[in-house]
Amino acid sequence: MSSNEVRKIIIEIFNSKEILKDIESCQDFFEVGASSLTVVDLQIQIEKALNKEVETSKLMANPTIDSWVNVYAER
Amino acid sequence: MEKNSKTNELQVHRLFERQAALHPNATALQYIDQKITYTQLNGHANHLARQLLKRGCKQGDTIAILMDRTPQMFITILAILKAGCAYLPLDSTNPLQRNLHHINEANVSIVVTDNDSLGLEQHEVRIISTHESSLFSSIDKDNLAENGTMDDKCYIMYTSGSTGNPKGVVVPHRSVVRLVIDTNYIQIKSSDVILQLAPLSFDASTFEIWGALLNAGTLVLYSGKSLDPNLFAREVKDNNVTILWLTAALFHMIASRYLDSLSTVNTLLAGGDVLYPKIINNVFDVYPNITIINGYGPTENTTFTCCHKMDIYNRPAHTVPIGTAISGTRIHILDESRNPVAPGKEGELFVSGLGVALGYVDQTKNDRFFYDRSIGDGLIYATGDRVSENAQGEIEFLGRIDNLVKVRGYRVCLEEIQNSILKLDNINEAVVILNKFETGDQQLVAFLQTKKDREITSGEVKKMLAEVLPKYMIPDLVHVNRELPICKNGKIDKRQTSIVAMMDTE
Repeated sequence: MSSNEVRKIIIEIFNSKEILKDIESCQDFFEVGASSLTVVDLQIQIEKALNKEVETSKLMANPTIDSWVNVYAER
Repeated sequence: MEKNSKTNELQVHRLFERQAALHPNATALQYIDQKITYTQLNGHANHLARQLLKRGCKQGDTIAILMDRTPQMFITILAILKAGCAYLPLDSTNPLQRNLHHINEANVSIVVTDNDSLGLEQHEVRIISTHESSLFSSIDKDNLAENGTMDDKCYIMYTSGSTGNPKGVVVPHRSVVRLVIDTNYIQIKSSDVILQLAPLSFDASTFEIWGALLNAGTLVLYSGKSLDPNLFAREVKDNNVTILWLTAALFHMIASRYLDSLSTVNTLLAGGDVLYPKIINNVFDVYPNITIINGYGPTENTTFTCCHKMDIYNRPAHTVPIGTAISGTRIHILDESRNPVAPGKEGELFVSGLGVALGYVDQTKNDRFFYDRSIGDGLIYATGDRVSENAQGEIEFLGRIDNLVKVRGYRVCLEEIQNSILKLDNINEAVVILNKFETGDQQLVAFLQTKKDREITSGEVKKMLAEVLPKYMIPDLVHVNRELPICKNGKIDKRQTSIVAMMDTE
């Protein structure tokens, strides 16, 4: 899957969260008020959609849409 | 050990020793690929208990534990009890200042830790490092002579307090035994496997640890440092976990997004906050044989006070009640003058019985513990929860009488956060609310006003709060110098917080 396709799916899932609706792709989720449980919830949804597993700690350390796209698009 | 001693007269570690004698080769602990039998765990704990006594710990002391979740942690817990002492779990994610508060207030004599860079060195408390090679061995493997009573303190756990300071709850052996032995809400068998997922400083760990170890079951130690859903699912499945406790928020998330991870579970306990019937019914649709228990209770009445058992034949309708009192506990619904309310009417929940803690470490805060023979025998605890009894005789949770909320299973007093913000420099006013979204997400939001001509960023506020508050109490969102959402009557104005979909300030 191309990184653009990954980005599209990730943004769609982020848009389902009230707190994260209009987040910029380089903005830290935690700064706009997401809790760690919300972030894990997003992880599960994204991994189901992409059928790919990533370590949670990797995602928590890079809490922006841009870095998640990189992590999930990586082969 | 005397042959005739009844189960309900044996202290926690004595019951464990009895299981170790009856099931010597059963697996007590499972950690990644490591299995530890009851004999091994008991032998190591006996050895360490003698080492603790040699190093100056005395019966009746409180010993703090600051360790990662490895088999050594459970050897240490048992050793502390065997030495006649009580354990006080500290949390390594807590700021040093908070851990120091607990150490000082509870008069901790020794801190056992696997962390050599704690920053406690300058303080007047003895530190024992688990890296000392003489501690973990089974050379002195025989049980120690017994001498304690059921009313001795077993552990101390800190919770957020309504006065704005954390409160240390002192729980005796009898309360722990009443939670997991001969009880009415669950029957834990030696074939059961329980996941140890809760932080030790959270009292769900009482159920997990002693539920397994006092019933000859297996305790599986979750090996992650924080919640990783893939690791969680693997460890539940690979170890055939049969009994699982999840906080309400985590339960809702796992049950709605990750149901496949529960395939081996036969009893799922969830609680700490309101449960959604729809999500519970979804679980029954996929797992018709599972039992789901809504477990309710304050730390002051030892993990569970009431439980409501649900299965495919007893599905929840509009609400999930907190159910009925567990064995050894009596509940009383009282009005403001502490008289029983009429059936079905709302009142405050009071509890009595074997689960009631001995009180707080700081006895000046004990006003919610009291004696009143007209209500019940022994110490009574006023929970501060508003409840009513429904037509089926089950208790329904309605809310709080004060400003206490549940954040990811933890009890959080919003005033404690507010007071911590007000103690920072240059802050004039602060309000903290908990937002709850329909998706199940929660968010702690702080609104604050700085003193005239002073500035502070939300990042700075979070950073400074992280030096005094545990992680789960740091606001997710900080609004600086936005109008405080307060009406003239002093109540929080829900209309002004239009950023939220649904709000719950209780």
